[in-house]
Amino acid sequence: MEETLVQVKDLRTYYPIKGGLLNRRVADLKAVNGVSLDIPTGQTFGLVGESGCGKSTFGRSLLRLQKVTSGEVIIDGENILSLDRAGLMKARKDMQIIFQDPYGSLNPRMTVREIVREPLDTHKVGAKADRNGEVMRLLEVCGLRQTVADRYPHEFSGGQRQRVGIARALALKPKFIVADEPVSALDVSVQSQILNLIGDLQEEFGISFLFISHDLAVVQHISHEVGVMYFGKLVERAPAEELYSSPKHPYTKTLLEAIPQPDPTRNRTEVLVGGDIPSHLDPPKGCPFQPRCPVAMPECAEREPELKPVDSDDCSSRHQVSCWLY
Amino acid sequence: MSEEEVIVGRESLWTKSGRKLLRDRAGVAAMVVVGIYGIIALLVSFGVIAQDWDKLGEEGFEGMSAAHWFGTNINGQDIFARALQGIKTAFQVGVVVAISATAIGGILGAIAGYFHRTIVDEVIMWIYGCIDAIPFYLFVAAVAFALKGAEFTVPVLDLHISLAPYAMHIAMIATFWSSTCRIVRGEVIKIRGLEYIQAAKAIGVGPLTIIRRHVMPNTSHLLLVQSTIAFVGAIKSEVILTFLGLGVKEGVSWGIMLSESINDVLRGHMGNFLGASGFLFVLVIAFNMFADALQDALDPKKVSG
Amino acid sequence: MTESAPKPVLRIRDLVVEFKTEMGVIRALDKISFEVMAGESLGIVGESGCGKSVTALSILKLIPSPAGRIAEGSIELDGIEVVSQPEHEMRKVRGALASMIFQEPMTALNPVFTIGNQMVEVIRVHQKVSKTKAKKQAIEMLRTVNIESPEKRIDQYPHELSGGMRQRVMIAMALSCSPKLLIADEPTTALDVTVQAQVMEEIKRLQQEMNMGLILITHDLGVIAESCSRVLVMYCGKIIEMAETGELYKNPRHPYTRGLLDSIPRVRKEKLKTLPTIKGMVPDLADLPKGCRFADRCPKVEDRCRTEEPPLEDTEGGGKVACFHPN
Repeated sequence: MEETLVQVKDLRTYYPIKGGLLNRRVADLKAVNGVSLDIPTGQTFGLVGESGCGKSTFGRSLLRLQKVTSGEVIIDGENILSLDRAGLMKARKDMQIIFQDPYGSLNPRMTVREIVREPLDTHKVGAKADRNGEVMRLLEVCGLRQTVADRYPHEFSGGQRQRVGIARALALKPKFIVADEPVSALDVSVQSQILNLIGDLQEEFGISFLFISHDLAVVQHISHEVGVMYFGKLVERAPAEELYSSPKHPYTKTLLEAIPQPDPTRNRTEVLVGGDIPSHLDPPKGCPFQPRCPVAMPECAEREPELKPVDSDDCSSRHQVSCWLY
Repeated sequence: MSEEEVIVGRESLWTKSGRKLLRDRAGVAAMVVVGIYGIIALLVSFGVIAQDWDKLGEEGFEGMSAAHWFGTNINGQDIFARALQGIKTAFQVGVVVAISATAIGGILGAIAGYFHRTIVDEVIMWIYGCIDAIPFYLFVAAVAFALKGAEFTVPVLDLHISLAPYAMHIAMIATFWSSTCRIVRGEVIKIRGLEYIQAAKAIGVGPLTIIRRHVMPNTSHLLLVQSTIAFVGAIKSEVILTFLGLGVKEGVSWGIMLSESINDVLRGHMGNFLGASGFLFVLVIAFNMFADALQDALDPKKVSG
Repeated sequence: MTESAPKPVLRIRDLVVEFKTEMGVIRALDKISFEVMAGESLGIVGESGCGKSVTALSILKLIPSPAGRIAEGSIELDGIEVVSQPEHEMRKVRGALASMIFQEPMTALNPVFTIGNQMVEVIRVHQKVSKTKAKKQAIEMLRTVNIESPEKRIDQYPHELSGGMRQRVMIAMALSCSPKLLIADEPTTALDVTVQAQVMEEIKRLQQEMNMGLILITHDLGVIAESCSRVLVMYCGKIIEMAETGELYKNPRHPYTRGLLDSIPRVRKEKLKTLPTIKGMVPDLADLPKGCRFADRCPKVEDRCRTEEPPLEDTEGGGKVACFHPN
């Protein structure tokens, strides 16, 4: 039985929408609207969704890089959201983040050595004299030669910069890493290199990952469990294989159909969904997907469905959907 | 698992900018001119040249000659030597004001920008708003009046430094910092949202350390350009203030020479006027060109890969 | 070849485009040649630095100068030689004979003007019509790209529309003067997957209805598979493989094409332990190796590959490949 490392309970992150003469709060933009999930030690949870669904906000909320409105985030037994400054500082050693933009995530005025060393210096890890050696070791683990240490970020390609970002994230030996679209900005041939690296690091160091991406194909390769987000909520989650072989939620099916496949012989069935994501200023009643859903029923516009296990032959107990069809 | 690296060039962004600057011929020429002025200023300060600027001569208003390149003033003093002394005064004022105003503006701007949308930002913006609202010359006059007879005492050394002569410097620093502050604040508000700042927060780095280590170095290109602008601004202001009687009182500066020259010119003697304004004009033009070239060379959009 | 053989809408021969950089002069395009017929959709695929966007910009003579220039070669657009056209003549060509749509719909549309203003401007540059008539034409174009209530949308600003809608507005603008060739440079990269599918459907439908030539530039092999009849693969400024889409995907000849197809993360039936990759990185254009540009990364490299550059030659499948030992 696996141990649960990360447990998220009903996380909500709202942004106030200001308006009117006095610029007062008129409504809330519910970026993350009640998401719960758990990640066992040494496993990866893939979080998928399109732009605006709240997945990036969710990832940053877990690390308290974003102010959370309510909910709990329990990492290794401790609720991160209720920690004071000193406690949070300690907890930061256990949770780190890798960003999407390899060009913006490294300080252009610092050398690679300084970038990777900063976490060690901030938390006073080990003796000062040993830290350089540790930096070298981290660079090597991430597939970079030691000679890169005294160069600057602008001297490298996107893939190499991403490796530096990963080395920095590993420095504190975290148990949990949020990877926010780490390969989306890279060339295709480099994407697979970085995905392989992340997979190897997980095996070697037993790190849990929350892998955020808009690309279902990337997520399948690297995740043990996958969740689909829409308009701030999880609409489906399942073990990775199951989500792809037997998707239940209409939105998940749409996403899978819409991915362009490098196969000219494939005939796409017409599950093309129209419209766009709803506006946060005027959220739809009931199920948020209902205005675009090809199989919407009258009750979908009245009450919001909850995330519940699916009762079906091809689904395990860990497969949950938020839809009135089930 | 290691891969081949592409060696673009083993250098920091500063070296890259430096090379770019050297390719700009106009900029290099301007830099050389400014450098010559700087060397003269040093030589004058160390008493190597132009030491006889206040030696009274028998003949007032001598025309240009081999002995006196720009002639003499009403007291027979060599105008050329006085003009060189003026370089020293100009640089002294310029350097002090440029460094202080830029440092204050840079630090406050970074703090204001980083704490955007909090009370800290509002307070700093309010302060420079107030300062900007006061007309500059009135402000200098007020400071000069307030500091009359004021002294700065260093207790241990039993040193008394009169503040009155520094009224002009203080007033300039107190007003020049605001434009740097505004510009840096704008840039920091942008930098604040970049992911390497988020990364530092995720590591647990404190806000003041983030400002020092991550934000300020990335505004240094702005600070450098702003300091050159402040330098030139200080020199020009000094000339006008001295002309109005609010500036330098001891020694000689171009401002003093220009105020002397009012009477000279009415009597047909152009030496003072040509000397002071000629040196001032060349320095300001050279410095402005240098500042432009510097700005182009440091532009991060063109420098970074 | 009979006398009534259709003339290509676009014919590029031995095109060389150079850029002046700090590192010296680099060749972004090194003697590329290809054709596009009316009604045909050609995909150009490659990774960063391969020259695909530069190709698109050269067709409409939009290469930023003085940094860049068309050094050699010919570009024939519907019979007109573009390379020697002066700028004022090119303005008549752009939008009317050939049009382009870009990746970022937000930055391609001016945020301070309504869409109506921008579309009317495009129409009136090429046609002598009144503002009212142009506006009516614009509303019709919006309807053609399936934008709902176009009479309302025409007076809205770009920020009031979603990404997918803005891209459709761009398409409408590009097609408003019925060009013979549409160049789409990464039109769906910045869009969500569901919207991507919609926009590609629009492009394909309009292309067929108007019998336009279409050049689709992208790094996404999936999008190409679904939308193009022929494909060009570019690497470091050269075309290294050309083929019919079906043939390319079934039987990629060049090791780079094969490597690309293998390493794309895709939804597979069984999960792989390790994704296949192409080792190394794309070389710097300022510092190209001698011989084949792909040699350092190629699993089939031999001595000859490092000294000689392979020429583009015909293959049995009807395409071309530049390799000494294609598959």
